[in-house]
Amino acid sequence: MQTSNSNRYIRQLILKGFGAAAQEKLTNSTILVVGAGGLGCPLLQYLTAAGIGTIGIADFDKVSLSNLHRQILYTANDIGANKAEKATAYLLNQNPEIKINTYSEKITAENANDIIMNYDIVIDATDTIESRLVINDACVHLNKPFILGAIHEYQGQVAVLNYSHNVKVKPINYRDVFPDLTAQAKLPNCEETGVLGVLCGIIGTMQANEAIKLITGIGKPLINQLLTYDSLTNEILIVDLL
Amino acid sequence: MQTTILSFGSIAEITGKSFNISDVSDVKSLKIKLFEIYPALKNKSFLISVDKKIAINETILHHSTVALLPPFSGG
Repeated sequence: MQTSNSNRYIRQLILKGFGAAAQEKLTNSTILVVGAGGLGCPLLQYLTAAGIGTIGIADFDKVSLSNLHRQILYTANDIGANKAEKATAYLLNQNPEIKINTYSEKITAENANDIIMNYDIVIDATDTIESRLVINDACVHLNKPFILGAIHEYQGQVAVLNYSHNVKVKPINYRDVFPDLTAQAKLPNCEETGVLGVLCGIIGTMQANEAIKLITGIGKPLINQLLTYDSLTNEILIVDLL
Repeated sequence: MQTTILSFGSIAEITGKSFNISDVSDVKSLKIKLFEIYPALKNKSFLISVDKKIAINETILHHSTVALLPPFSGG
């Protein structure tokens, strides 16, 4: 596969500060996306298009009619089908040059380590605190970066956790940020509070952008920072977590 | 001295998006006052940042902007 010279990636290859070296890093990278829903759909499309070499897609859920306003990988014909499988089929058409591993089972404390160990970066696109804590804990155990994305009504959060450029600085993880959370904590999800699809697109795309920056070394990823975006006002607050 | 507070997510549903609190010198005294005014916050998980940095109880407030940031769950 001639990734560095591929016409497919020419518009990003010619970017100042990007080039063939960055493309090669994307080709050699592996990313696990947990959740192929509102956040997962847009970020998967951009990671696929950008040429991430291997993408894992984990989602046990089935497509429903109420997903379609924001989960833009699916059509009405997909209702009832497993999301990870449908997303895989769509994305391999989008970019047949990449490899996709499909996990149609739920990520649990029992299987998380076995799956996550195969990837460089994990992107959290889940919608429950329970799932987020399982993924966080496995990332801490395996020392993997964890890119958080989450939504509450018109606002979204993004952070790059469990990663540090400096070996002397202990990476911060989700439990450090919210220490009094438990898996039983009842936090409202989109099913209860509602969500505009476009906000999922913005936050999911920001997560994909953070992954690309981490892999290629361009820019300044949100390492140990929590970004909060308000879609009603376009205000962004970035808080240092260390 | 007034401290400006910005609330996000489910915390804003309790306090409103922006408000001021006077006569609090550090984060610990801010928390006591917040829980006094908004008892519902006692049951909430949220981080407190002061001037865009995560804060601890001893963080001093001096013409500061404070943010109350709960975890979001949706996706």
